[in-house]
Amino acid sequence: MTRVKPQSAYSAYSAYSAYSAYSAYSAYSAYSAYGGLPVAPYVAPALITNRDGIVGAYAPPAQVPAPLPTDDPQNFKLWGAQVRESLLTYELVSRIGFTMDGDTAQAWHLETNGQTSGAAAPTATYHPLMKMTRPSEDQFRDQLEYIDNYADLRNDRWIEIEAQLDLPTAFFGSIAFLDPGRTPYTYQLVLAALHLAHFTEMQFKNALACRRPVEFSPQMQAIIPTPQHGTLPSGHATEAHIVAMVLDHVLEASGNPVYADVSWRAQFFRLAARIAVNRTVAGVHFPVDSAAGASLGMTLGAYFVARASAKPSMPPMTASYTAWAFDGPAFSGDFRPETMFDLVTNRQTATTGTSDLGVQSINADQQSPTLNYVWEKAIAEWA
Amino acid sequence: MARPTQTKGWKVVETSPNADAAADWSFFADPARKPESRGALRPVLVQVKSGKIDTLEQRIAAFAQEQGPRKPGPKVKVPKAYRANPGRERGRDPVTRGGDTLYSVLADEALFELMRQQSGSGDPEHPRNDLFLAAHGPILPEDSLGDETQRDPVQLPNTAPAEGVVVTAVIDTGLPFLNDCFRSQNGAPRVRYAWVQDGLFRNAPPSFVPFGREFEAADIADLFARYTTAGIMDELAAYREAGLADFGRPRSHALGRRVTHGAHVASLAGGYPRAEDRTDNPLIFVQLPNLVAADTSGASLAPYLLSALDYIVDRADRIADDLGCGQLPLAINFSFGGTGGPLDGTSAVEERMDALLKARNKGKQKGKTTIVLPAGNAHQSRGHAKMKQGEAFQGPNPSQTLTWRIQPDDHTASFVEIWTPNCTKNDQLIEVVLHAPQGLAVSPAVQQGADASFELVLDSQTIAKISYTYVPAPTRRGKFTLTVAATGRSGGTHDLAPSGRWKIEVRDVGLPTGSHVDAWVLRDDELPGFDTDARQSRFEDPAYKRWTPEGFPEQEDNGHSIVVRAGLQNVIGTGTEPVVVGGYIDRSGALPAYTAGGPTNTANRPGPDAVTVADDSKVHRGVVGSAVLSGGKVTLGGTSVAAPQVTRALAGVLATGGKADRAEVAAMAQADDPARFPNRAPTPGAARGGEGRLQLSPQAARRYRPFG
Repeated sequence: MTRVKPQSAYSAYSAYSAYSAYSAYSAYSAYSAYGGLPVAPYVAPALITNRDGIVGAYAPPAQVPAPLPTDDPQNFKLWGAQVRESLLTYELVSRIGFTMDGDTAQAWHLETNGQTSGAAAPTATYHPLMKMTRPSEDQFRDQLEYIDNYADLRNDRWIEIEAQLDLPTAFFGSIAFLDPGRTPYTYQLVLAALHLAHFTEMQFKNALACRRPVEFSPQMQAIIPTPQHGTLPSGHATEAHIVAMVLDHVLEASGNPVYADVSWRAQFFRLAARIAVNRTVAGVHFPVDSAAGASLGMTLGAYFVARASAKPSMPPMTASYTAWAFDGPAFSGDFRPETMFDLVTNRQTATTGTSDLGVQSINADQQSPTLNYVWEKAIAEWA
Repeated sequence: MARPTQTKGWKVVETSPNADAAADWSFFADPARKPESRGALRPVLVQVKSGKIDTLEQRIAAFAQEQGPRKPGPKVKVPKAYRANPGRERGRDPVTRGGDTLYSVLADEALFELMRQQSGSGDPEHPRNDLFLAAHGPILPEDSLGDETQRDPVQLPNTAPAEGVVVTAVIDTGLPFLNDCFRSQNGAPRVRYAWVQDGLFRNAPPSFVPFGREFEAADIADLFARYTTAGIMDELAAYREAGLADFGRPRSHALGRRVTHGAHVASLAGGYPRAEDRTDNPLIFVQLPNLVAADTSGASLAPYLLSALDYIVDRADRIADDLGCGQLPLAINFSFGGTGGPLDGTSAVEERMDALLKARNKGKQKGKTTIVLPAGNAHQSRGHAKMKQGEAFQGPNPSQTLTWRIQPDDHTASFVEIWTPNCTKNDQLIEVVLHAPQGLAVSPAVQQGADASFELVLDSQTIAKISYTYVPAPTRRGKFTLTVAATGRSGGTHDLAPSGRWKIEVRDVGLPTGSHVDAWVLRDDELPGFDTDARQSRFEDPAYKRWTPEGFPEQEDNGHSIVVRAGLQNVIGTGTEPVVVGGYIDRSGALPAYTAGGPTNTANRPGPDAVTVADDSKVHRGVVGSAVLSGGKVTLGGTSVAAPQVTRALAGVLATGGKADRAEVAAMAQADDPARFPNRAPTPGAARGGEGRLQLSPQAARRYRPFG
């Protein structure tokens, strides 16, 4: 089974297993003590001999169990954690379309109709989701100055940079109680959001094919290996911002008055901005990459929440998200996160390089019961 | 690599008596100098013989005229403050030196070239013509310059200050005026004026500073308002807008770092929790340019420091004016220092501080304005050699040879200053010879008398220089400056000086009985957060003992070596008026190995005035203070952090109507030391401990409530 990993997976440098996020689940398995093997050594031969000793002659059972309902989210709790993760990822990634027009790449939301009724093929409508236009090589070259100046902060930040090679969950978990044991459904939602971010950002990186700082100048001398994919958008920026957006909505939707204080949101988004900037400090990203990634991450985060929180039982068109565009050629200067997001309204705001493509409505009839099931469980964890 | 022409050996170069050795090296001799800096303006100290402010520019133009046709002539900008009504120059008097006057102005390199060509006037006591370049600062960025708007100074009534109000001023690097510890309870800024000397000059609204950018309380309050959402302040974004965390402009991101020297020092000097609502302690900040802070030799400091002091005094009076009261008490903290100099209080910077303090402390204002300086951390630097007549100089042709160890891969020049005892211009007391390593070359013997300099040239590039100048009254000493070029580089094709053991031979040709000669290695290290790649050189002597038998750093001189720890006190800390503070370790009450002291060359300064905590313990080094952003804490140690604690305490004394002068600090130490150290180390000697130890706050409180 293919396991999906965000960008850090492809960095041979990462001392942390890319599966460290998943290892929490293996903690429930008695086998986890055995160096990561799926089973303990000698269990199979023990089971062979043991069965021999106790099974006796085969006799068919008298009673059959009741069948499980098909395609029912109530079955979700029966499947293993990694299975659930795969199902959620499918729900998300299967609805992302991708097209290219010159220097502009565009991601779309695929809305299907009639999927859940009968044997007819689903019909499809694509809605805008995120558009991105590549900056010019001259713009990237001008941005090298920022990497040179930000290198001043390398001594300040290198420990964070190394710790942030892996998923950002530990950092978000130090702000709010995001934890595989304490808030398992929220944790699962966050991992699903990270998968969505990963698949989408990789499509953009591949399509726009932007060169890394190390390809422009021998003086950048990044302090971590430059990852083997395009520089824009920044994967770390995308992922950190999608998690900030999703977590913030989960906490808000919980209804707990403690989380109504805007300071939770402020800390999430400050963390996301810092994770993004740390990549420029490290020397592997331009500021424009962080801006593009932050915009993509926030857009995908709001989209994710719209898909996950819409209820199939409610009237149609109850969920909507805003599509955005990032125009590389219109961008200049430093990554300025404070101009990209409004703490009070909890929305992305248009700034240098970003613009709003309008509200898109999602047909709630076709929402994912799987996503919704996990969403409802997740927000209950914070009450 | 081909070497077309070898020109080894010494070349005698005529020196200008009109420029100090550091400026001369920087502009004319240094093989690493960059030609593209020509034409750019920088602050300099110009010494004018009996000059009046208003005619300074005319004198410079006339001077240029006398030298013959030249295109273009020197550009000079005189700060508007000097043009103020001469009868109302309180607190802004230029320094006088033996009848001359020192002005901090902006000038370009053409001025130095003209001065270089100036020949002596023949006057034995004043060999220079009308103008002398006393010090220079590094170039300011183009966008830090603009047209200053003139403004009359305020006239304060001769009445009492507002009760309990004390102004605290801090001159340092990276000063975070948006930090929570500098706000009053309702969020208003306590920083009333902040001057970033290499900030972006603003022409509209008008600027009242000669260069850089000033932030007044209204500007700061505006930043608070616009960058606060739902009660949450985004300081980094605000500094970004203010150009202080700008990663797109060179050297403009001090406040984007986690830690700055200035943030820590300022928090100790005047930081308080907001709940304490210290509106009675308004603050003034001056942020030195990045390049000035990086140059630890201090050669480029003087013009910026003098401008900073003028600024502080002016703005303190404006704060009083806003309150409608008389002159306010003022505590100024300047946690910087270096080595070298005459160490007798006669350097330009020391004279300026003494003059400023004496002008403000007249009559009822006695003790109401104070400047606090650190004693410095150079105690173990091996940067001082003291050669006594009769002891150090032995034999029929008495001489003493100093070994000067210059480090490899040192990207900045290394300097040694040798100062004679007091003498007249024509006295011949010593001669100095410079030997390059491995017998590469030997200079001629440089004598006193006429100002002169010699350069060691290799492949047409200057590798080392030895120069002599007589520094007239009030100093009245001969000064030899030895300069060795960088021994490493990360760019350029200029030749490098050889590292290793250079030798300085000092010959006694007429020293008075009982006198001594001081040799100083100027400070030349790289500060954390800067990228100068400087490496500190030092003197070496087998008789100098570095370790005790138990293996601890030796802190006392044993009398057997001419290289001594004594007297490495801060080069700008020997004037009569400022308070000088060293450090001690709180837990043990003992002195850390680095805290420097006397004796100096003035009886007025046997050592610092007192010492206070610079390290919590040997294991917990440093003292907790604020990081750049609110809520951040950082530990920093050294005498730099001892000084602001005394500044803070003196502000408290001033608030209750007391005096903040040296006598007060001595009295505080004399009361504290015997009473509060019962189970700790005994009182340190006066040379490094001054009048004793000050316990300004309880140990435990300071660790958990650093601003309490």
